[in-house]
Amino acid sequence: MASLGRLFRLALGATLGTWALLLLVALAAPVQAQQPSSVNPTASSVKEQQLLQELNRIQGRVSIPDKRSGMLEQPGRDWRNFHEVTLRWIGGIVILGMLAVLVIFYLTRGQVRLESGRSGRTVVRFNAFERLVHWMTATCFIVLAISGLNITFGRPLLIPLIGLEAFSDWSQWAKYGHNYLSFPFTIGVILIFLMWIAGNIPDKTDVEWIKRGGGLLGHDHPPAKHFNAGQKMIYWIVVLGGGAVAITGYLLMFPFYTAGIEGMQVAQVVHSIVAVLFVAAMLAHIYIGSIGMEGAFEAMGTGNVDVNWAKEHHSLWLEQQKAAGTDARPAAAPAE
Amino acid sequence: MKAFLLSLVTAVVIAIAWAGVLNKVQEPVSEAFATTGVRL
Repeated sequence: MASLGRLFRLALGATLGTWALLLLVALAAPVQAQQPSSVNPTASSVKEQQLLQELNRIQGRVSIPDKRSGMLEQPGRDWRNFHEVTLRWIGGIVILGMLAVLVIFYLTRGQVRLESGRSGRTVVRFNAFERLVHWMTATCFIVLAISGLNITFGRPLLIPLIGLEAFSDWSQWAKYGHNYLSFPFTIGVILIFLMWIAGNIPDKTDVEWIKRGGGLLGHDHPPAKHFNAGQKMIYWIVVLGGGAVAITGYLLMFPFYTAGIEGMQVAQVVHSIVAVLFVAAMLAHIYIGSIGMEGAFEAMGTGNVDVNWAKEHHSLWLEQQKAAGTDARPAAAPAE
Repeated sequence: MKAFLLSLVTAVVIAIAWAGVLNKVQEPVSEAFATTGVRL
């Protein structure tokens, strides 16, 4: 009996001792965890914004043969904001602004008239090949401009008017037009560059022409050669702007052939900004070549211009034609 | 007028030729970015 009681006391003591030991360990463990450590498991959530801001990209190694799939995240928020917000503002301001300027100019200055009237004699200004190249480039430009502006402005402007299905169909065809007509446009720009480079090198005649406002604001008629300073500006906008949109456009048409994601973003930024500025400049060119100046359209329409028109607007060029013996003839059939 | 109409025809002919070239060179996305191990 005594041994049984002793056994019971031993068992009770062991049990109590074990529990005491376990309690001691449990109390000690949190103390260990609360000591300063170099690892803070919540740190990554606090610094997520910093991570997004400071890292250019998140990428790693992949076993997929296309190594580009290793790019997990390429920050495109700035680029997205550019083409959703900034570009629309830039495009809207330059294009609508130019339209407003032209309307105000027409309403205040009116058409630039042929002050000495028609002479009845004409001189060849542009031959058939020059006019063919010009019109091929111009018509392609119109389609490229409309289809390109659809990419930027189409969704907010057209969907409320024509609905999603019609917009989708229209945009698909517009995209085909944009891609396929890019090549004849490029050929036209190259030919324009080659055909008219000789007559579009700036010289001192242009300085005088600009000083006298090109005769746009008064009734002055500053002398000009084959192309005046204003036309030279349009020429170089077409050649340099056309070259820029062509090069960036082909980069976009062949994605990732020569550029990565950043390169594609830069190409899109350059392409879109140059394009909207190009559209604004061409609105001014179309204005002055059509309703803005009496007798101007004939230069590209029939190829012949009235001698009095040539005297008023390109007097130095007319003298060169007279010296070469290729000047006036009675107004007759087009130069084709 | 003749020059203008001829310019339209020229543009369309060049565009059709370019479309033929593009269709030969370019692939649809599902083919361009797929490999033996990955199919989009």
